[in-house]
Amino acid sequence: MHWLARQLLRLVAVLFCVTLLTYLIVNILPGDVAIAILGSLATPQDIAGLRADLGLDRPILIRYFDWLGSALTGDLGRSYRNSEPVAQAIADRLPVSLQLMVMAQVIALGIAVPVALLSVRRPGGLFDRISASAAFGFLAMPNFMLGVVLIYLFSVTLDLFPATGYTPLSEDIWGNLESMILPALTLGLVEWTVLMRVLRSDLLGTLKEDFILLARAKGLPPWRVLLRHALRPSSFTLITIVGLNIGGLIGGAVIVEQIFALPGVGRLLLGGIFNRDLILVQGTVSFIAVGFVVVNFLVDMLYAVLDPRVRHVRFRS
Amino acid sequence: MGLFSRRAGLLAAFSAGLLTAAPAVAQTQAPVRGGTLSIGVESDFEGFDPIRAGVYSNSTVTAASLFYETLMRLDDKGGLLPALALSMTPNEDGSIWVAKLRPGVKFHDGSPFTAQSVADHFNRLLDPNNRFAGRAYIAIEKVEVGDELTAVFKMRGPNAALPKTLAQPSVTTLIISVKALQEKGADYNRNPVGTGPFVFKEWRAADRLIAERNPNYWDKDKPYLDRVIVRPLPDSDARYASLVKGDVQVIWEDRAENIVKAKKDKNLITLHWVGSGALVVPLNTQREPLNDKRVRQAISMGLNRKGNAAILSQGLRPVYDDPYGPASGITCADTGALPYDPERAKKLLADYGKPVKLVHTVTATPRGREGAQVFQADMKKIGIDVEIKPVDQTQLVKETLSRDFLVSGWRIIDLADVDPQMFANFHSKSPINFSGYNNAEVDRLLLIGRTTLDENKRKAAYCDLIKILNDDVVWLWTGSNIDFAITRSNVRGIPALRGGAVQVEAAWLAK
Repeated sequence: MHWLARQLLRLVAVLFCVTLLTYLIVNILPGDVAIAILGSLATPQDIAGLRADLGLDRPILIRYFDWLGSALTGDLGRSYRNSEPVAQAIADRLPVSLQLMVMAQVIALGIAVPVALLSVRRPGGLFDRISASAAFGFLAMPNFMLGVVLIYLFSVTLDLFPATGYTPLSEDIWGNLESMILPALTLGLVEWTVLMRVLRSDLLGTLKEDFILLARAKGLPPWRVLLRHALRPSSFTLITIVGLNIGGLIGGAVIVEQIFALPGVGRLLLGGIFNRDLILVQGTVSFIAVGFVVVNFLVDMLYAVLDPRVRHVRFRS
Repeated sequence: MGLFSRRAGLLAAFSAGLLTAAPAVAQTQAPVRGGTLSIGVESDFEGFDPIRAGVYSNSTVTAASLFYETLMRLDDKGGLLPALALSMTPNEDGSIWVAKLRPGVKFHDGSPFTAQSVADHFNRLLDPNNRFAGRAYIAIEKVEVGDELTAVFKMRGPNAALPKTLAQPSVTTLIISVKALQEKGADYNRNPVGTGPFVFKEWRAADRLIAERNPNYWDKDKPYLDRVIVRPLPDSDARYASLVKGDVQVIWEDRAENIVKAKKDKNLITLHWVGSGALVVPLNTQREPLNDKRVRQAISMGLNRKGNAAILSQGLRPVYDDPYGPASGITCADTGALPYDPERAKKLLADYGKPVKLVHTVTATPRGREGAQVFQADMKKIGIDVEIKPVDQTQLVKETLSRDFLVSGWRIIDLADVDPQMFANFHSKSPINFSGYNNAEVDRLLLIGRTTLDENKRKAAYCDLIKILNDDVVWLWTGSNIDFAITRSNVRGIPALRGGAVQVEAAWLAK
């Protein structure tokens, strides 16, 4: 079967499994959405009545397939809490989360790539050892703690950035960047560590290859050898990790959006979980799953761009 | 005292309220007009249609109080003041209350505020088809229209507490425009219309709510501010940092560490309010071993309530021997509270003669766990094993309301009058008497508290009631309802934080 068709079939199967699993897990969580909506004063009759109105007295699988049928037409339902269309709620908040994740990834790569390149110039040297220690240090720090530290340092003490809140890009570009720098740093300063270690390891392996020896023998400067000849073939694992890291970034974004009070998809999801807003949680998680799978699909496509051998093999298969 | 003089006494009290419409906070400087005030609150808003929202958190009350109002208001001492109503007058036994409304008030969409508006608001909440959960606590049967500016409240029975109950801002008492709701449908929940000092402008979900000065507000002197922004800032440390930095000028706060820090910061002012109600630990008196009074009394005497509260709140939260609190106006010379006496507790348990094991259900939050851990530690000292069962908030509510618990964690919230909750929690016929407590004398005293228009007799009944509840140890009172707000030093005019809400209709920014 054509490679692309196989990938698409796999995509559909993964999405079906993820959405079904999410639906089952959300529905067996303790707590009751009717109580979350009606409050602690609700009578048992009111609770039962609301559950019936919301269709929560129907079997789980029937509810799931109902939801799936609507989701395939773009209708993710309405929030149990405030009747806001879930698709609209996600669309409103997606730009914030996307900007956060893109900025975090740019910061992470912006630190990881130069640090890895500098580290492999003298493996085991002073810079290499310091960068390794720094990487472990940042990796060990929970991002909620890092976020608060950055707030107190850059916002309260140095008065450089706002502590919390979000300014839309359409309102003020500089204000938007100011409001996103600390949250993006909070995520990026943890992400760079893994990227740097992976890239460093691949670079060390590539630098032992014969073509590198030839490049050096031709008298090319060390920086040209690293950047022009070693970096590209060493990037495959890095690209894979960047794609897989989306999941980690999304999880981190949930926490970071809560700390910095950013109106993103992560916060929407967290609010839905606390309020037992099953429809909202289902729609948001499914959307995130689709995003994750699509990104990794694009990462696969990117391999073909970077490595002609992959294009050739795929074409032949 | 005759019927006439009893009603006259009440009328005199309300009339005195009309004459003392002074600002809630004494000021040496004249209010400055203008400016934008940003308030940081703990959580996002549920929405502003009371039926859809179900319950207003204190974050939502803070926001809703910008554009909604109550019929009456309370000053900082608990005295009644006119608001949308100029007076409320009872009949002989308080089973009917007549509210005379303020003339010339308009909703933000220009439609007039009338007795029909009041009737529509309350009758909608009372309609069982709407499933408004707070219905159980509303003592109103229905509201009728007398004339354009006269609303008639027909009560379920004699009720002395109605004006004070209606004065505290809450999901029930903040009056919405039902007309606007009918026009906007489901969108109303995110686009409220009221009569308040500020007009709703925009709500960016999870980001901020913006309200602007109502130029047609009935009180021509107010509000002083041009604009109010309410921002949900869920992380306590980040919220405090935002205040210190100046991104917001007021925050609601409950972390003792931040409050202690703020008290030392000369750029900040700490406001606090000890309300009525209490943090409580309900005991299920229908289940073994708590169906035995000796065990319950042992628990009470083995629990160092005041010491624990001092540790958990760094000395910020007082503990009383009743759930009324200073804001209720009920002070009992003798509450009959059992002393902290672990040795006596051990003797009672020895008398009981069987091992006692308890399960303490709490919310799976730091606050819930801390309270349960100190309870567990104290019980261990007197020989009671306690298993802590942390659950989600909605699960705790479900288990407690269905009486599927042994020891739970709960709160009697800060209301202007103690009747609604005391009656609901302890009357034997109440569907939410989840301890299963049944005492005929308690029922009788609760009825007196509910129906007697004589304030002194009401207070005496509540004081007799608490002696019985303390002796029977139905619930444990583990801390008062205390709310804090911290402001920048130039913020003035914020009244008492009733129910934890930050109200800013009289707030202003000093230069």
